[in-house]
Amino acid sequence: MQSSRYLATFETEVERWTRSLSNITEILTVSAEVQRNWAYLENLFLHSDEVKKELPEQAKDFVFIDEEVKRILKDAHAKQFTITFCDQDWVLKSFENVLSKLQVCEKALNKFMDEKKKCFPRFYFTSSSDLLDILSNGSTPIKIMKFMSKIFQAIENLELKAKDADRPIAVGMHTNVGIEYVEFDADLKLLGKVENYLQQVIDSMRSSLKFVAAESLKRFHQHGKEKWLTMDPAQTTLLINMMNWTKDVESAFHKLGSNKMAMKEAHSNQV
Amino acid sequence: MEDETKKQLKTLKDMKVDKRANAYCGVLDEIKKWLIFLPLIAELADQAMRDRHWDAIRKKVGKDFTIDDNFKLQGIYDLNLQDFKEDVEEITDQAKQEAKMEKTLAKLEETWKDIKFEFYQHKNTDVYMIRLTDENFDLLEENTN
Repeated sequence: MQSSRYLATFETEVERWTRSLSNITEILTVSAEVQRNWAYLENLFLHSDEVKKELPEQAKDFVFIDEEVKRILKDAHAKQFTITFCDQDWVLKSFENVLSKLQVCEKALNKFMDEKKKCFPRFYFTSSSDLLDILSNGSTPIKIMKFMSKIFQAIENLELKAKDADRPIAVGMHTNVGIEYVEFDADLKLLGKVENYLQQVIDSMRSSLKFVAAESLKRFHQHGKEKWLTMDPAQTTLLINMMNWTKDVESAFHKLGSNKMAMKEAHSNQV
Repeated sequence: MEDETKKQLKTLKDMKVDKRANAYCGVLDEIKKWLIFLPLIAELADQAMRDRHWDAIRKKVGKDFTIDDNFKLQGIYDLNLQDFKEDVEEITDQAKQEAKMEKTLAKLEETWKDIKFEFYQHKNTDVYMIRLTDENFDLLEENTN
């Protein structure tokens, strides 16, 4: 219409409509983004103590954002009609203002998460929403258990002692592949921030497996292969088996000079 | 009427008379005048003609007249519109285009005065989020262009 050479007579009206409709389009775009961001961040900034503690400034700003979003949407609901609502001068401005503030909050939140990821790289395996959940519930380790499989491969959860206490004690780990349980070599109280105690959990896992492997090697010699096979965690059994095999074959090579049957004997030992 | 005039023109030309006779030339001129005049009349009768367009015509021909039920064909004939053929066509064309635009604008008004947001509840709160139905969104895109 605007390009018509007969525009002159209705110019004002055509311009009014052009402005009005493009305004509606803009408002819809911005409001969609505002609503999505707000709904996502609302829970975190208003209800997560961890986020409030870590990002106090943004949490404070969010109180204003929250009120503002609700105020705008309430007006839309009252007006009902799209054009009535959108033709108000303040609407687009308010949406844009609140969006820029939301973006600041989101940026701060992402930075916060990035820092946590750098601190405990296994957080890179988790999705943003899981990570936020983990960080928000960091001070209640029992709530973190359901995320263990996302952080550690093949781990379902940790066996906890003193579950009712704020800070329980981890005593072992359960797999989510078949049924297997490995006890920690020492109790580990889950203290401090989640990224810190999860790091300690890794240390515990390592030293426990090392301990189990050493024990398993002892048992191998004590009980004989057949009995030993079912005594220890499968991965440990495989590892110790490989160690023994390597040792046997190596010594068979050494013996070959004096005993031609050494390799055959080593083989019969294995099967 | 236009067709009949054309027929008359043919009849006249077929007549076995002196083509240079005053009477012949006079009638020929008159018929030619009508041939231009009649299509213009048809254009002027279009519903799209508004007062502002009649004003433009008045200005062009330099004569004043009132368009009402008493306005006779003779009145238009006396305006000698055939001398302003292109101007009149320009004005009636504008009237039609403007009428089209007027209709489009009216349709916009009609459409948008009824369009409401689609509201959806946010979780279990009393906050309602806004969006347009796909149908209305398409309409918006269509109307924006």
